[in-house]
Amino acid sequence: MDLKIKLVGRLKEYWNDGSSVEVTEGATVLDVLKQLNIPDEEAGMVAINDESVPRKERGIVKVVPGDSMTILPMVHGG
Amino acid sequence: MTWQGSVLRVNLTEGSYVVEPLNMEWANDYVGERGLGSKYLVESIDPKVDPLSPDNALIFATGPLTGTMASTSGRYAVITKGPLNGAIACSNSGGKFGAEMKFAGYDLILLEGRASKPCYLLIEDESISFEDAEPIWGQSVWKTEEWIRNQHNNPKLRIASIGVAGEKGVRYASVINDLHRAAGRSGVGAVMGSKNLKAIAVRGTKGVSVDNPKRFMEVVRETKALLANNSGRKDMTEHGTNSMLTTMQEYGSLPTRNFREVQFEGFDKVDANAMEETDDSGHRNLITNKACFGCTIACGRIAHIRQDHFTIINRREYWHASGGLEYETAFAFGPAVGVDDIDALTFAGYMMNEHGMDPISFGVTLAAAMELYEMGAISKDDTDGVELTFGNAEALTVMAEKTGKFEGFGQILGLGSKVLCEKYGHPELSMTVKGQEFAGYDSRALKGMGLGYATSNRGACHMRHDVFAEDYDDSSPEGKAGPCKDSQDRIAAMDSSGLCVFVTTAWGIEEFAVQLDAACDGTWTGDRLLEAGERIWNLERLFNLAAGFTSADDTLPPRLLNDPAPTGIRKGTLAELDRMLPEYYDLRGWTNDGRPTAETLARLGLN
Amino acid sequence: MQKALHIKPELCTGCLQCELACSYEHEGLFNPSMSRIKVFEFEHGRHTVPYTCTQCAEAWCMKACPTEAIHLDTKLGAKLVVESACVGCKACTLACPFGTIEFNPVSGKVDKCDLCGGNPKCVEACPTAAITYIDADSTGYDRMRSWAERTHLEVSQ
Repeated sequence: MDLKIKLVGRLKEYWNDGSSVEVTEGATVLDVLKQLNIPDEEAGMVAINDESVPRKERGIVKVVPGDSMTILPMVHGG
Repeated sequence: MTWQGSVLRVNLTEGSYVVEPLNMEWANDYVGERGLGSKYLVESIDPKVDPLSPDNALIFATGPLTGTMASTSGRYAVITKGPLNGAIACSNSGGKFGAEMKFAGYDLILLEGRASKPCYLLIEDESISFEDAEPIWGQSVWKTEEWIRNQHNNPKLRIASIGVAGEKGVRYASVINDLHRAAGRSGVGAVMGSKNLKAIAVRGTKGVSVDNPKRFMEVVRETKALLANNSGRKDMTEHGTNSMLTTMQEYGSLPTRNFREVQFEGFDKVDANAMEETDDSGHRNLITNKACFGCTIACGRIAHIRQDHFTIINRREYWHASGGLEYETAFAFGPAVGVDDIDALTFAGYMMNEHGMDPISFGVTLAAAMELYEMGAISKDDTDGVELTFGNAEALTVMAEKTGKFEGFGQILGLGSKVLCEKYGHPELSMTVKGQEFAGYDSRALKGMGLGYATSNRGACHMRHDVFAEDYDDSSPEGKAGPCKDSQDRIAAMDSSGLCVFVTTAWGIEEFAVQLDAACDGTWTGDRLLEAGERIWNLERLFNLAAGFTSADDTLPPRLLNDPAPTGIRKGTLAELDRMLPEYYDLRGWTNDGRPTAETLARLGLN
Repeated sequence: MQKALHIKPELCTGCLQCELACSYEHEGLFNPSMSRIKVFEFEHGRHTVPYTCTQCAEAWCMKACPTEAIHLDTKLGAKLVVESACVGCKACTLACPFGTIEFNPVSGKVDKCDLCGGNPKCVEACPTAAITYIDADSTGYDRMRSWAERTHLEVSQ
């Protein structure tokens, strides 16, 4: 299935290959991160359809057809 | 030992000074810089003094790691009672001045009283003199630095000075060192101006030693390698802190048009990418990145403005490179006031450095003025005929210069957003905590950030806590108080070390501890530092309570508490401070009305 | 093969880690005022340029010294100051066209870059490789290569 993705800031250095990616049905958030070569700790926030996924649920929450995923880099300080 | 062991205590009223031994008991408990400077302040003044009176003290403080080979070792802090809000003020800065002051042999410079006429302090190791500043009173920071170096024929002098904003008491005037590094916030520059002190020029040749040099060199090699390999560090090096702007935009935490909105349609015209793009004429805003003393990150931007831009087309004196946009400046001159002209933002940034002002407080005050203007509470009659509408780039640059020079409506803007909004009958529009303006993060999408803002001891500040990981995790106020408190203590200790908080992209408290342990006498552990941080936090709190602040001041503006975030990933959420604050007080060991209990004070040795 | 310090100012961020490392190596403490390499800033910090002794083959400082206190390390190509022989007359500082040998008022002798015995600490400390230690006959190689590339591309267009 096709998953729409939006990577922000420096995360584009891990994956900069268009606005969608082919993932297997039933892939979890962690699976998608792995596929995009983004280390788990580097993904500050993952949102599916503008709803954030808590870090501890990244291995549980699955993507479904039609989903779009936004990933923000971890940030510190100002 | 890595402290120099000396405090330079200057009495400006009498034009005298004395070099005192550093109180090592205090250094052991409060580390340096922010913590140690605050301890000296608390011991030197009555918390109820008028900040702009001779009774206030102004302290320049380095940390134990300032001037060493640890990465980012250029930090110093300016500590005083702040004139923007009457709270304890501590603004730190990089550049080269802080290390030079330490090389001259001083951990702290403590200034008391008020000089009878404008002067500056010239320090060359033990040689200290009061010099006449009449010829440069009324001049900019940039002119001042050049004039002083020429006057003494000494290009090696490092200088921290104020511009007209500081002289005239703009409530958020900064102390600027090395042309464009700033002890930016809370009006520390106005206190310097109130003391008739234009500048401190320093040259130091004594160097800094550490307790265990061999181990220290090994440790800094390791910590520097951690930093070198960190992706957040690489991002700051390549794109500067302004890469944050796109992230806050996508998240929906980019305060726009005086915080009415949380996303800005023109974000991509003022973000890091925009700085790096070459336009049709071949011009690129960003020239290069540069570092502060000892820093292996180099997040600083050097930029220039298109010569045909309206701000400088007839002003050749600005046809040169200078400090470029950092995130907070980009936020405050971009989204906060709705302007998307990157050269206008850059020029306004020049004005802040040249005249010595805090871009955050200026931008957020201007944003409030624009809202007042658009609702009809002020008119062109008030604003010297300037159309003060959101998005007007010329309004931004003209008002930045007027405020810096304390002219016309700039004199009102120079009082800060709180006074401005009260004056025109709309205190609710002031986006401040304890009278200090917010930085570029909206408290609705970032709950822990909101709690941090509300409880920050210098008023709204984004640099006193780090709750991003938890805020990103969910929009609930649950579980935010603990990380907020812990990070406040952690950062208070880090801010006292002599290093820059931006290293936290790669280092935790243990990396600070291991470097301090090699550099200082005694045993320095992460736990010891966290306890020192908590002690510092409570010391600052006690000062504010004694100055007249109460738990009622630990709050946020009604806009953030009552108006849901209109867009973004956290659309519909509120700041929900009341669901975090009681837990926070409890975790702090404070009473329900926000006062440290006797047990807490005893535990921290503050009784 | 002899090696030389190769400085690329366009990579320098002005952090002064080189000055810190140099002073630590030679003086045992962090003291940029004693560093043999110095970084100069121009135009509000737009340009930051590290500068130090280039170790002239025909060294004017060495020739000017009346006490033969400066001698050649044949292996490194470095000109070294023999502290016991230096009388602090400063003749070398007048002779050096680049100003890179300096009087040290604390020791009463002159200081200059000695290449740290073949392991220059400024190189090790530089976070951006603005200072490297490379074969002495290759310091122009990169620049030459880039001009070659540019010339070739222009010709082949």
